Amino acid sequence: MLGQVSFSLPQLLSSFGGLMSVPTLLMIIVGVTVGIMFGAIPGVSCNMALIMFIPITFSMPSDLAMTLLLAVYTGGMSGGLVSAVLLNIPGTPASVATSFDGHPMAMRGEGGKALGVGILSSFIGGVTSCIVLMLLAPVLANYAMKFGPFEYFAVSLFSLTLIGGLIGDSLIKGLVSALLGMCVSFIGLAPLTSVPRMTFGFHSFETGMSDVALMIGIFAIPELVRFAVDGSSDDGEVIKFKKTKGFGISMREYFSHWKNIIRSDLIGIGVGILPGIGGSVCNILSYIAAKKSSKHPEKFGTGVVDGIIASETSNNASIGGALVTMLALGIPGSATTALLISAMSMHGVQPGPMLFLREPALIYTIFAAILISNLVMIIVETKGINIFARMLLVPNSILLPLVVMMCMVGAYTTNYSMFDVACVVVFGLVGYFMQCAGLPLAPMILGFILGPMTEVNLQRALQSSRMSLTPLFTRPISLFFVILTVISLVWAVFGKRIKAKMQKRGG
Amino acid sequence: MKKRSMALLLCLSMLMTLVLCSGVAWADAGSEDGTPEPVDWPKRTITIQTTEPGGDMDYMARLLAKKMNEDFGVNVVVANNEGAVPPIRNLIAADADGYTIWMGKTSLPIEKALGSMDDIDLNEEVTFVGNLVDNPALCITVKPDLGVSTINELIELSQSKPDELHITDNIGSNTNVTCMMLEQAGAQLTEVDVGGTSAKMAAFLGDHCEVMVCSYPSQKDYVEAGEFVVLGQISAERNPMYPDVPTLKEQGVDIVFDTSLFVGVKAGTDPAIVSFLADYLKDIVENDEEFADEVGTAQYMVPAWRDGEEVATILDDQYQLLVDIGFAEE
Repeated sequence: MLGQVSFSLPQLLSSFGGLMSVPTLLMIIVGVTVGIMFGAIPGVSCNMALIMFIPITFSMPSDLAMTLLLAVYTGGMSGGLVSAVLLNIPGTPASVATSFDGHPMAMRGEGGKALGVGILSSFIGGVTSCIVLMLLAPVLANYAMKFGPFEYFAVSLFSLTLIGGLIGDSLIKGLVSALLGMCVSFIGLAPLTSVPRMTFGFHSFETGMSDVALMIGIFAIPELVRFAVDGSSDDGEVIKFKKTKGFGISMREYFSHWKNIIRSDLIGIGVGILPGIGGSVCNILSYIAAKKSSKHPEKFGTGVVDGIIASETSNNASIGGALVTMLALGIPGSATTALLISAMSMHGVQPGPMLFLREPALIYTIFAAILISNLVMIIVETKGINIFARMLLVPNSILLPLVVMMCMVGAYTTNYSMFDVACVVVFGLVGYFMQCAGLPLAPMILGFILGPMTEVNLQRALQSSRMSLTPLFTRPISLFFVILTVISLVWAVFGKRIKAKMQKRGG
Repeated sequence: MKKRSMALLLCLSMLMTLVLCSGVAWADAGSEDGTPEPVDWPKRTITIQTTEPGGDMDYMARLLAKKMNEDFGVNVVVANNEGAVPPIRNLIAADADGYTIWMGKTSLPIEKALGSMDDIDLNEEVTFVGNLVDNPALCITVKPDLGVSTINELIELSQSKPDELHITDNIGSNTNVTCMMLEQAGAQLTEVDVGGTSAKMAAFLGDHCEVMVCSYPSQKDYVEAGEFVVLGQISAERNPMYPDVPTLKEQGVDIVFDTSLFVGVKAGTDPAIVSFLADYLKDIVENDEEFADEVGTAQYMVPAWRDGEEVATILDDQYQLLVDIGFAEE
């Protein structure tokens, strides 16, 4: 098998040694810190930070350049949890699910604990996925290649049925929200045929709506509008927070969630490996999985650590997963890894199966850089908990307008277009009225992301099979997900009845 | 007191974000060596508009940004857009002052053929500065177990079992044009629109498609390891970086679609700036060995300077080619 290489501990240790110089460590600390800041500012994503850092790395040797960029990537992926917990506005699409339980905890005065749990989970997700990357990259990468259009379609279909798990009290309202998200995703040129859909003749609509604009719009703006409409005074709004020591949670309590940690970790790695899915889906999927298998699913959304563990473990675990396909096959699974590949080729390094054989030293430096960055990340963020949490002391009348302004800057910089800023405002109003009508917002994001994935892959699948659906049931992986889909659907519709019957029988 | 200092901190952090995002953080003012410049340009941040990160245009834009930053001391920002047309729209929306530069590709007529730039008259709206590199990268590839080693063998094989073999297509790109020309050359393949370069590699590696149309650099490792067999290049001439791979034309199959990367500015830009920029770029392309080495070894592109008028002619010729094969309307 191409890219197969046996893991060598001495080589890893010597790479560690190579990075253990004061300037290099300082560089990692700066990279991680800036990454965290960019991740924490809603809308200004990890990609933005990478784009800024790439020119700086031109003058560096390739191993140092990759080290710095991976430090930024690691920081950016976990920084999103800060604003998700404290402001109820996810800093990146990868931390949407973190806000479900993180913010209610912050409102109760447990912001420090919520952050601590998130940080610890980010660390565990990041480190374990890196270890998997070290040991299994070529094997896993080849497995990921088995996923063709039929498999992707089946996975998307299965994920769509999981939306039921995100819905609060009303199934109908949740579905309306998800369908709304799918409708928005259809705006633009249709995949494959390039037919303009719902563009009303505007060219700006042709590239479709950006996920960042949608996310900022429906999560950030309604907070501001509601505050303005309620007109409550500042004094009553200020939330207390308890100063926390360490992570705000005992190791024994944290690791009592070991099942959740392992499950979320696997979901993160598994989804991360598949090109084109990544962190923005896996955090929601593992949240739903944690909720479904929990003994107290009704407590999810009210502020339990389980939800934060699920979301933050999986989104950081997806980093290792995404790097598997990037390094072992030279295939970028996301915009972020595409940027990393572009940066590597600037240094004359082409990721691909031969990289493991041709430049083993660089590969081990990459492993070491991820591990050290995670270590730096956990230290910087733990030191920062009490500083971050002070954000809650700022009166909303000052904080929210500033946050919204930063959101607008973030939306602008994703495509350098004012159109996205206008989208934020429009989506913001949509989000506000949805909240007024009691429609949950999270299903909309999932619908928006999964809608096009389902559509494109179904079209591709039918194209390759000449309009036959049979392969969906004859290919083992797609059949597996189709069965899961059916089970999930049956459970969503009849689950309550089945449970009640079983209880009766048991009683 | 605490509230106020916290608010101040927030204000500062926001200002910082604004400063960072507007991209002036590392800008030095003007050139430092004091040599007289013929025009008063560039004085401030330059934006290069181009497509998605990771592709050949993005690579060239970033390389150019690095060069210009070193030579002029101003900051140069690369703005990525989804698709080939939005960068042009952004260029047209900007001021004609030379501070917005467009990095384009000669496969652009495909967009015109698809009708996604019907409202843009390129020759009216854009002044072409010049061509930087040729990128003859697209190749047709199979795996050894298919048992073919030339394009003609592939065509024959496909005719013996019509539509059973799948080829990686990418609608609205030069891959799409290649697939179409291959069909006209007699091949009977099922086209599957899998998406861009990385998706094509994934589909081919996972045996979802037996034939791949993909750029050489991304598959180089596999070719060298003997896992992939490249049947031929789409370009008119062999790429000097991999001279062993024959062109399709040499094998008697008339499939040629060349691509090259060029630079343009908004029409109406001061001609002095345009000629200054053209001279500067021409010097890099023709004399900068580091540049030739970087685009060559990293991306397998060939430095080739052509002036703006030639670029415009090439674009017209490419469109005519698309009309000839029935891809575009007259």
